Amino acid sequence: MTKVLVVDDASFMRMRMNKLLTENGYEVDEAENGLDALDKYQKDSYDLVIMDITMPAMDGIEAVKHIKDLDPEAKIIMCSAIGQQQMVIEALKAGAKDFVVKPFQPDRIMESIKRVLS
Amino acid sequence: MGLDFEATPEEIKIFLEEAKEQIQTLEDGIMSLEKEHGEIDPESLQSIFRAAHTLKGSSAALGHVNMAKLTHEMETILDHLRKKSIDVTPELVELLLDGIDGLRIFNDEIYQGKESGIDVNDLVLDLQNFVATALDITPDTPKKAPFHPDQTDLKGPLFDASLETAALEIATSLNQNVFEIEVRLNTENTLPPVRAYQVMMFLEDIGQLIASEPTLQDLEKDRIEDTLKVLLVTKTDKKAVEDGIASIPDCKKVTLTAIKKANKTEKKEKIISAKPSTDLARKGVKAEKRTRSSETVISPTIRVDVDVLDDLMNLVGELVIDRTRINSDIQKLHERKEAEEALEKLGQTGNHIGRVTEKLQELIMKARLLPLETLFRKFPRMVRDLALKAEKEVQLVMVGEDTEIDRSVIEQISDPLIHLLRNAIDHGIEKPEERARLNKNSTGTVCLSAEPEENYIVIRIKDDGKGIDPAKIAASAVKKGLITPQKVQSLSVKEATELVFMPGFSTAEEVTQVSGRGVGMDIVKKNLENLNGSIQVFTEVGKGTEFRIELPLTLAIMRTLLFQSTDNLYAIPLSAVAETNRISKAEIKYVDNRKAINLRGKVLPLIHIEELFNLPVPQISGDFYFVIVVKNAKGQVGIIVEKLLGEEEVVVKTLSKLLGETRGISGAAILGQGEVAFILDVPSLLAYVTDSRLAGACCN
Repeated sequence: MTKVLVVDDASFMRMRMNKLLTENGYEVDEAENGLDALDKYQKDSYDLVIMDITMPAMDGIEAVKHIKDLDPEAKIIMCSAIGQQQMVIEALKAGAKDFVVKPFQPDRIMESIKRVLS
Repeated sequence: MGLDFEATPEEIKIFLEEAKEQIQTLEDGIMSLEKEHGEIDPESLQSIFRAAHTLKGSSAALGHVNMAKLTHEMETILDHLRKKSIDVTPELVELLLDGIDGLRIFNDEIYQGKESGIDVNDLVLDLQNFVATALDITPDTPKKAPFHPDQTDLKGPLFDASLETAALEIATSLNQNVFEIEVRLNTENTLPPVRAYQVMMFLEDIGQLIASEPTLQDLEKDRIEDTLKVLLVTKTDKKAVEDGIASIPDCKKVTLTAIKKANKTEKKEKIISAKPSTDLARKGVKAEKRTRSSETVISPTIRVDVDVLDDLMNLVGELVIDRTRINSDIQKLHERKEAEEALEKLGQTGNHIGRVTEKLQELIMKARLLPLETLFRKFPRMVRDLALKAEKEVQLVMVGEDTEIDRSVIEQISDPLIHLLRNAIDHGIEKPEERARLNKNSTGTVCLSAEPEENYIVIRIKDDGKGIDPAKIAASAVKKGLITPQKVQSLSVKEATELVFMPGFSTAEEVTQVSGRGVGMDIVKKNLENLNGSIQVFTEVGKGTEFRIELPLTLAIMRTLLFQSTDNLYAIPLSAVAETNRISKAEIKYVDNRKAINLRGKVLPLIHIEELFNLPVPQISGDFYFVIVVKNAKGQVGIIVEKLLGEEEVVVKTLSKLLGETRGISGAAILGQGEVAFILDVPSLLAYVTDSRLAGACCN
């Protein structure tokens, strides 16, 4: 089963994403900030990471850099708000594969996941 | 109008909880920005910004458009503050605080499932205008002329001829192809510069970018409308390039033109690929989604430490084991096998259950405790606003916010505390010029403190204002007809001051905007007494006033005195009991046909518990009565009961509303053998006694 790590500081957002992915047959783990995500990524392997950008402790961009150091093959999709294009570009430079824009549209998320995992 | 969200009640509950915290972070942050004139450390500013940002994301996901709109504008401003491109001004603080108020209203809308009808657009506009003015741009200024390429008709080359020539030269030397690529991007709900960036990254992967419009640097500065043009040299064939680009989302239309050396402008091939719109599919998904009925009630939630929950689970586990043991022992008893041993084991299990339930009780109480901070944290903003309105300078000092108290107590002391704070600012603290004249610091101080004391929490509200003048209070009470001039003469200074707690009393010459809200100190006192708490006032003219509130740690479990009368069981809160006494019937005297005794030189009115509930008074045999002496601020009353049963800790159950008027009874308790005892509500009982039966007699 494809394992996805959902990283967001708002548990409301994690819950939504978790539900969507679970419904679509993915196995989901959650992390509440970049540091937590890094910690989980070190302990476990994931096929995909869905990463929020603005988070306490360690932001999404920093986390992408660290995860990529850890695993150059890591596949990461950024979750972005309108207006965060510069940060997303930075994350792409650091090795993130794609992004989705909040508020989430389920079909766009699934489209992006399929693309990144293919 | 009802509000429907695409979310389950569970999700909404979590949203509300988080939103509440984020709004609080925002408010605290904005107030410290005001206090420090914008000079707060970047980390704090970052966390305020993050709160707005996260709330924007969540509210948009939930589908509360107004909340998302408002948080977006607030986020923009905080972003500017973070980048120091605008300054903190009083106007900005006001606007942001208005925003906070708006967010609270919206959060409430979601909680209620109903729209409040508040229009957010004016505030959004004000916020936008503020930024525009601060940045010295008018919002009407048209944006930089948008980049408009010829859209579908390729009237000419996309790039300068010299660039094309250069590309062709490179391509020829490498035996590769040259493509002019035009990508039209979807701009709704996406980040066009990032999509363009992704296209460029893909193209860079498969070939060489000779030129692009906009350039990579432009993209990093957000300079793009909806079209990206690239001149690419690659060994990849046209179809693969086209498919590659088309697999990137939001690339609406991809036009690829192969450029050949000989007839470069005439023989352009157009390959147009368009992606099917996903809108229809989305609508289908949306229609299937569960929508929350606006009638759904969301119960209040509390966060419990996971460790506490684990401990609770362990204890419950032990109880389950005990149940199994009891069943097996009972079985043995039934079969008359090893009866002695079974009985002994039952005794042991009973003891064990006793220990476990004690721990359970302790833990549950702990789980119900909340730091007073959850209540106190709304006060700085309130005091600020009140002081501003009253044209006073007030500093609020809070001490002991981490003191923990039962959540139901917290909910119920909010209004009394607000009232006392309002009073302190409105009636206590003087205006700055007056304070200066009195050689006081022009800024008044209101201190709100909390600390545990034995089984009580003591909350003090202290101001350094003008104090309460007992003579003025007494005169006012007489004027209002609350007390006779004769009686006033006999009052001590403390008693005169406490007249402020009398119903219908208010010293304000005129009802002000701040305090005049129709709630009197008598209500404050009554509310606190309903919680088994008490309030006292200490004051010194010219120096200030202190209100001292005592509250029980919890309302859920109460230490009571149990007694029985006419086959009914009653529990009376120990906090209200002054003493118990056995009184000889011979000592009883009659005052206005009412029983009374002389207890240590004071007249103590007596009343049968049955009289209080209009029940027939039983004949009590013997020469003695058992009397429970209960106290409140007005005095003492002796309640005659049939039999005292002793002290007991009881779990308070509230009575169903279906029972209607239950004056004098605050709840019920279930005792060890399953009997039900009524818990007496002493303040209302005494009010009943003093109002209708023993007026005057108990107050001497």
